[in-house]
Formats: sequence, structure tokens, C-alpha cells
Amino acid sequence: MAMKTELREKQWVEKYPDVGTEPLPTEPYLSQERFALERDLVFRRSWINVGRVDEIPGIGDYFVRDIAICKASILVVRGSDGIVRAFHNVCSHRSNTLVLDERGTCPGRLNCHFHNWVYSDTGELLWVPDEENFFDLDKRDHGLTPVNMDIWEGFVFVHLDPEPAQTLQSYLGGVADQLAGCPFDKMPLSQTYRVEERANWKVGLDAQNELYHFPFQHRHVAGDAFRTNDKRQSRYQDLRLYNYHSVWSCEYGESHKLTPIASTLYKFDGILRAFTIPQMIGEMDFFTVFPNFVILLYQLGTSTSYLTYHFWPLAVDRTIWEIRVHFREPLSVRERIRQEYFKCISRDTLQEDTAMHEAVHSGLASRAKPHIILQDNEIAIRHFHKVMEDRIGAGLPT
Amino acid sequence: MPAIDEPSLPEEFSDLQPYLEWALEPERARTEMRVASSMVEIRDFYDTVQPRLEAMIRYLEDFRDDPMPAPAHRLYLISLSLVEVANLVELYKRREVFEGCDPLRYASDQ
Repeated sequence: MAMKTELREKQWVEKYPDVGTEPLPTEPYLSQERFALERDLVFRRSWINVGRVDEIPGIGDYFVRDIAICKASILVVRGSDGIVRAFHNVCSHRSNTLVLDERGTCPGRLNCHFHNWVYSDTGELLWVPDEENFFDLDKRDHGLTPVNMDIWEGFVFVHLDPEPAQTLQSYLGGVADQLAGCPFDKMPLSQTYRVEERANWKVGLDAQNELYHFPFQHRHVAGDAFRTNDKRQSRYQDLRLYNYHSVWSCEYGESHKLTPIASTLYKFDGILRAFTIPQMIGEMDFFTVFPNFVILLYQLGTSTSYLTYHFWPLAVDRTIWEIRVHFREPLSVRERIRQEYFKCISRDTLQEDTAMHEAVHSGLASRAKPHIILQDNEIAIRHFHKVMEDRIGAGLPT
Repeated sequence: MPAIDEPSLPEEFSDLQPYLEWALEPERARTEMRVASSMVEIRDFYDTVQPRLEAMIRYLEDFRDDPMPAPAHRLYLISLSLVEVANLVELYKRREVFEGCDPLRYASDQ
């Protein structure tokens, strides 16, 4: 197959000269003041993905996601009218956390376990024990507090600003255009990893947001997995910078050798049916959705799969890296075991990444270096920080 | 645990009987087994089961549309343990991920 990847140097800065070539300061990974600005001007004022509608297919199904940096607990519930809504997970009485489990199904109502105030699955306050003993209490005024929510291709996003300056569609911009109609619903969730890392949330996101490190850090597992030049340096097939987001795409390398296990698992099994997606640009597409969400689409054999990453800041130097693995329903046992094999390889690779994120953060925290230096293949990191600087500099809602 | 008269594994795979302890679920149990095993044990498990993987898959395909009988399900779980440790034998050639974090930070109960 003809190679689509151009191998020359410094091609992406030619395409996007505005992002610059300067070193970036290390202080934004470390500063408590900066962390507070990111909370107030970024996380409180962006569309944040909290999950997928597939997680709550039935009436009364709900899940709870914490946006810890904003101290927000978001309850997403499918009401008896079939509509998905998001609320602050807080009781109207004395602000107790309403739902304590991460997911479940409610029988048409949600009960606070403190004084048993009862809400409908559409958020109205239905019942207050000893209501007669309150003073002018009108239940109609005390439903759950709604959170702005919208759904794109099955992904549930919330916005903590009571009046978002942009719709979700407009916020997603080029990502929404590129992935319109992508059949994410055909690739159900297979596994979730939630790893607490001793690192700033941007350290992990930056580390993932380039392919330069692959032939080095992941040399044992996937050193030759992606297209490289004759010096074995990674090159992208395509790279696009959007309003706030980005995507880089790559082709798989030709020299990648199959191990004995892989040879067995990738064998044609007679029931193989290709599952490819026209929305994909390369054989692996890494979409960064500002600020903290990644959609990573890739070809696995003849079948498309995807991962999502969420980087949930807990403190300036603590982050939960949440990884969700999605596969299509396997058509054969061979495909099912192949998915498991791929998941195990990915997990080993992610363990290399987690250790690296923490080692990078330690180095940053020593303040030995005032800057980080980025090359052309690290341009998506540069774009991300430029968006961040613009947002914090302007202090404007978007 | 298998019932008294029930074979632990399908008859065709009775040679894998010594590796029954690798028939584990969920994923966390397989990860914990991997972490608790020596490289000698892991290599022995891989060297015996890997050449049988093609036959195991062909056997298991017959059950893919139905609930698997318990012996077949155990065989299936052994195949999942095989891919759990495959990297260590085929690529890392050692028990630990290179410059990796504690693997139990990625243990999952799903």
C-alpha cells in the first residue's frame, strides 16, 4: 500500500506557524495559583466529558462523575420520560451528597439517606418527611439543581457555567465535523482503569499527546509499531489543529513482526468481518478534546476500536488518569482473545507511561529547568498550551 | 470447583490440567497471578499453553453462541491468562515491565 506519511522534518510548523517554536515554561505544571486559574477559567468554563449515554440505556439508570478540581459531583440520570439529564448530586435540604454509589438504577425516584427527601428521576422534589413542620416550604422550588448538559455522538458533556458562552457543537468545532456519525455505539465499554498519579494533570496529557517517544520509551512492546523515517523517527500521516482541540494520525509500520501469540490471534478465522470507519484519518487517530479528554481511535486487525483518556486533576501534583477501553462485540472467540491480548499489551504500555508521568513531574518539581523544549512532532502539546494560555490570559468564558 | 464427576477441562485438553490454577477471573485475578508467579513458572505456563492456543480457539468457537460449559469456560480463562503473560515471555523476556509502575495499580475488577 502506498505510504501516506511524508517523512520530511519540520513540516507541521509550516502548516501552523502561529503556534511558534519557543520553549515553554515549566511553572504552569507546578504553580498553585495557576492550578486555581485552571479550575476557574478552564474546568468551570469548558464542556467536560463525563461519560456516554450507553452507560445508562434504561429508564432510571444513572451514573455519578466527580469533577474533583471543581469539587463537583455530577449525577447523570435517564428519567422515566427517556430523557438524559445532569444534576448536581446534592440534596436541596442540607446539601448532603444524594447518591453515593458510582452507578445504578433507581426505581423512578432518588432518596436522600439523611432525612429521606425524595426526588423523581427527572429531578423534582416529590416528598419531604414531616413537611408540615417546615416554614413556607414549596417543594416546586426545591428540585435538584440542573447542570448544563449536551450529548454529542453519545458522549455526555456538562458545563458548570450556568450560561455557557458556546454550544457543545460549536465548542467541539472540527472534532465534531471530523467524527460526525462515528459509530461509537457499536464499540461498547470493555474495561476501565483508574490510576492515581503523582503528577500534574498536564504532564500525563502532554506525554500522551505525541508519537516521538514511542520508538524509545515503548521500544519493547511497540517500538516499530508506527511509521518512522530511515532514522527510525516517528512521523505523522496528518496533523490538524482545531479551535481548542487537535488530532494527529499515523500509519502502522511495515516492519512490525508478529509474535507467536499474535500470529495465532490475527489468523484469518473465516468469520472475520471488517469493521472500519470512514471518519478515521489514519490507522490511529489521537484526538485531544480540550481540556482533559482524549479519543484514541485505532485499527486492530480488521476491526476499529477506541480508547478514551480523562485526566482528572485532584491537586496541582495529583491526577487520576482514567482509561476506558472500547471494542466492538467480538464475532468469534479468536477475536475476543485478540481483544484481551491487545488490552494486556496496552496496559503494560500504560504502566510504562504512568511511571514516566511521575518521573517527569519529579523532574519538573525540582525546578532544575525553567523550560521544556519541543520539536515539530510535539506541536499538538504546544497548541494545547497556547489554548490554555489564551484562555487564562483572556479570562473569558467560552 | 468442578463437581465430582465433571472433568475440570475438556478431555482433549487434559494435558493442561497442571495449569488449572491459571483459570481465573476477573482480570484482577489474572494480573495478581502474573505478579505472584516467578519467571520460571510463567515461562513453563507459556511454553506449554502457547502451542495449544490454536486448538483451544478452534474448540471454543463451537460454543461462541451459547453459554460455555464449565470445562470449556476454564479453558477459555486459561487462554486469557496466556495473553496476560504473553508480553513477559515474548517481548520483555523478564517478569517486569521495563521502567513501569506497580502493575497492581492497573488491576481491575471488571
